Amino acid sequence: MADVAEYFNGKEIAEICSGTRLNNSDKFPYIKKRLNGSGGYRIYFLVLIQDENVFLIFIHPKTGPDGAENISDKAKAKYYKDVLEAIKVGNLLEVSTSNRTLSFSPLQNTDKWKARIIE
Amino acid sequence: MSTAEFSEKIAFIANDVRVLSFDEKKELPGEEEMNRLLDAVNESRKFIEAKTARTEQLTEALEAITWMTNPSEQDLSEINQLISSARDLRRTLLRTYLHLDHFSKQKNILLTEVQHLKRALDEFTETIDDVESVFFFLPKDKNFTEITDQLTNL
Repeated sequence: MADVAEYFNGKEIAEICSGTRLNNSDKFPYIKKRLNGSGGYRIYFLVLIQDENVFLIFIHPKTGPDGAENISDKAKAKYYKDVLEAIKVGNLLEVSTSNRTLSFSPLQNTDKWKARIIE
Repeated sequence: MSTAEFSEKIAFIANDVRVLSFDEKKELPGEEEMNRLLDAVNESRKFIEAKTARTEQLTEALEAITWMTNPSEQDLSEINQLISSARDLRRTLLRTYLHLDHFSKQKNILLTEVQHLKRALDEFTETIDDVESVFFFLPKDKNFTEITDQLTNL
């Protein structure tokens, strides 16, 4: 996971807006990023450009004991829906990337996104 | 074993060593021949690395296309043609890779370089499929597009 932490650590929003954009949105790109080639990781994340927030959705290695093939379109849609639901109910974890590791802690203030979702 | 038998054995081995030593000296490639061999290996390495770099560039270029917002019918038609051409190129590159893989394993040379080409080819293949999904499959998934609509209201 050190490579994943390193990828996000200290980056400007514009710098992480690369890879394959899945959702035809300039403001809220849903991105698939390949890390370290075909044997590395695949990261799926959503970016709220205006707020400069990144929602890490799904990560999988391509090889090793936890390795998996690329996810299907159906799975991409499911994770996309999952992240929206998580934002709606405020079920989010804050990810920090210090010391080349990913640390997760409950995110307290999620109202700013919840309040803005029009059902 | 008697002394005479030992002597005979030693003479036999000594002869074997002399013959082998002579053959080895005869067969030792000269500096010029070694340089030619190394040049050929280096040329092959450059050839494979150039193919790998070109494939990686194409993969990045394909990824960049997915950042096109609201493509027109004409754009989609061109993207569709591009996907077909990319798949054709992939088949050709795969044949090249299989040839190089067989050669490198047989000669036990340039294994890493060929492996890098394989990785680049895998990424290229994956990206072609992703581009097709982005422009032709995901936009037809109502659940998917509805989420984008909801996010737009954030």
